[in-house]
Amino acid sequence: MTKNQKFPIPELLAPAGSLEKLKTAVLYGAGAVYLGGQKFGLRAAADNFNQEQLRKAVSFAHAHGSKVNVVLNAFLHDSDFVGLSDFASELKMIGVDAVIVSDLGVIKTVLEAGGPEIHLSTQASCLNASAAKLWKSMGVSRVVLGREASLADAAIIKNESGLEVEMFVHGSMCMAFSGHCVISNYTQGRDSNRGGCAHSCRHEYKIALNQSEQEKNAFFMSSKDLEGLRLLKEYVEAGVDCLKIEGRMKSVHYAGTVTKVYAEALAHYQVHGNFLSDRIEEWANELRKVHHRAYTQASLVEPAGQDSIHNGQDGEGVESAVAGPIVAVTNDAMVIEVRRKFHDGEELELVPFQGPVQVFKASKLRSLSDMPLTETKPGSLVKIALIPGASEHVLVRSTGL
Amino acid sequence: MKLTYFLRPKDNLKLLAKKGVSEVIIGTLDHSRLGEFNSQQAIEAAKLAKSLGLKTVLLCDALVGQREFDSFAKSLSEMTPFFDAARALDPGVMQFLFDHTDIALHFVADTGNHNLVGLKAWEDYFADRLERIVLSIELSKESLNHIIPKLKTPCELLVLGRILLFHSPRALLSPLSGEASDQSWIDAVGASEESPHKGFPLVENKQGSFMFLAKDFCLAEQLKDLRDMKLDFMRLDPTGCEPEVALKVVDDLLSDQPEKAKDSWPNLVIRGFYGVNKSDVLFKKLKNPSRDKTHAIAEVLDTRKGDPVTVRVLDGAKLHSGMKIEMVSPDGKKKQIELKWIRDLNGNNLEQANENMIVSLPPIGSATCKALIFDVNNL
Ligand code: SF4
Repeated sequence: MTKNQKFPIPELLAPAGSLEKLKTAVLYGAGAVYLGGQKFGLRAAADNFNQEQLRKAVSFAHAHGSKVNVVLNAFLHDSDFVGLSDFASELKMIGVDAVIVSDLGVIKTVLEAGGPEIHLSTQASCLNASAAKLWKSMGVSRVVLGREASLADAAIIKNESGLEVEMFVHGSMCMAFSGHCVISNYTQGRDSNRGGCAHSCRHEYKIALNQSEQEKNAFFMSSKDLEGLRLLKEYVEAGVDCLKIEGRMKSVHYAGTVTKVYAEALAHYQVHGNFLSDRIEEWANELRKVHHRAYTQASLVEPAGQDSIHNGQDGEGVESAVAGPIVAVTNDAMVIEVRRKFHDGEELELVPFQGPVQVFKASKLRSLSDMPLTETKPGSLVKIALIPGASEHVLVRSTGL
Repeated sequence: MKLTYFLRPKDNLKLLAKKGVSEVIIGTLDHSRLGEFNSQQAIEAAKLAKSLGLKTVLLCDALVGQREFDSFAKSLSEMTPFFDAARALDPGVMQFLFDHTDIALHFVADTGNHNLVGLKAWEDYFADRLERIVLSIELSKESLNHIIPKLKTPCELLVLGRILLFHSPRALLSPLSGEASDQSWIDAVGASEESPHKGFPLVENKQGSFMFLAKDFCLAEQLKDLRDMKLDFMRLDPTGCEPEVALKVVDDLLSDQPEKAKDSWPNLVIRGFYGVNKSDVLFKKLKNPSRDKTHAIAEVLDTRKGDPVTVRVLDGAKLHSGMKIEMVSPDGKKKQIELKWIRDLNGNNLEQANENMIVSLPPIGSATCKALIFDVNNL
């Protein structure tokens, strides 16, 4: 909880799959970010940080009052430990605020190396106060609860264990108890607990139920995505210390948009002591503009039921709606790194770090060498006329979904 | 090496005892992931097993949420007096058994406990109360060889039985039958177009939904290795076998030709990761960054034929006018030029561009986005 405020709020922890995403998340209001180093974490395919980038990440985040947590949440085999101890002490020296760990062997190694404080990863599936107390005695200071835990469970676990409690508030969900899925290990030779999950749960399966003759095709083990926006009051009342947004592999648009929504909702609470903002619909609408599967509140209130299963492969939001982030501002133009084609005169939205989205018309579209353009091509940098509120890392996107 | 057997209601305990099984693992619908006994049946089975000289282990490997924890714990403590030992997977359940009962404990370390440092820490924590560690079948022969002799606690490993791939707390099969989950037992088989593996056995029960590999795990041919490692217990999970076949498999495993158990077993089998944990290879591959950016000083962001090239100066790097650079495109093509000028995005000439600045450089033939720029003097 952020202290010394009339209405203390939980920390908002956002994913930072790259330095660009980290800066975006921090500028859009993340109180903390989590990221992976080159080894020892899940999300092997993410653009993980090398030591130099880690230093930059910590210095940028700390300069903006945000914390940095590093994930070391792979379940390691003995041969994977090489370098872990040195890495843990380096993280401490760099100023990393916490490491997120699921393996007891890693916890012991980090403690011995005098590494940063330890948060127990959701991968350890901590679901009850008895387990939380055990992990506390093992040296962890915070538990990231399993996604199966409810908000009521969180309150009990926090009170009984005396540990800080972190819970997911938004993002994709593993259908399995975290850490209890090895489908990829056996079907693809990729260890899902060491960063190799091949998302087999998202596939369509042909199911033959033994008691019936029929076969059915279904995406029967794919979960909808979590959205906790309308339960923020319950998170606060349960005393949850940190709200976590899933998605280190997701886009910069996702990192910025989702962080902004939750940061603004929490900021509203900080002032008013409630979430009864007239912007609630606007925030909910913003969450529909990032790529997502249908949303669910999963097990936050009641155990996740049939309506939490995503019976389809595709997402519902259209991620390509982002035109691109602003990468620089000149005297009279903003430079956009184009992610989706747009044309001169098209209606776009500028998503400021705080406050409502501004709709404007792209004008004076030109190349960096000031050649007029009629439309853009993804991957290129273009200039458009400067509008108020533009600054580096601000997102610009198309209005239509 | 003793044989421990995962008991089902349909098994004949007397015959199992006669065949030389040392111990039976009894799981209830309420406390275990895949046990099929109700509590009363489990207690009766435990009494009978004890009278036949068998050791009895209460399987309580369910993962338990806070909202069910108290009732789970209460019913568990009513069961433990009838058993010699209890085994759990959820550290919270282990802690409860440790604090509130005096039963011998088995820790199921079959998920995410793949290293000696961690296993020793569990061993130290549960100390004298820990009677056994159930090791993961993801451990290779090499790892088992390394781990088993270094643990004080006797160890157990599955030698024949199904491979659990996935456990979700959600009811995933009952929606397909068009009925609400009544927490009864549903069996099914699944196949995915996107995987060469077909025929995944599926189960839904009170503890959620489970998927298993189509082929079972078998180390019947490796029992000599396991004996040499001084493994104390081998486990047989007979699911999928009729009771009389399971008895034949017990005979085989306890004979001097245990490899025959593989032929008696009704399903196809694999050794899993025993030979080598192949996921290690990919793990290392996945962890290697695809291109070494370590010494790059800038990255190309934008380029058009004949136009200046726009780059971002990378962290900790600088560009200065007059320096010689080499551009390496993502497909490996290289080109060297001298930086006759550097300009900011307003077109102003710069002597130097610092980290994270976006600047224009003179046109470079065949420049492509994502190409990396290196200082020729540091190559
Ligand atoms: S396949 Fe699905 S359930 Fe399994 S680890 Fe990956 S995301 Fe989780």
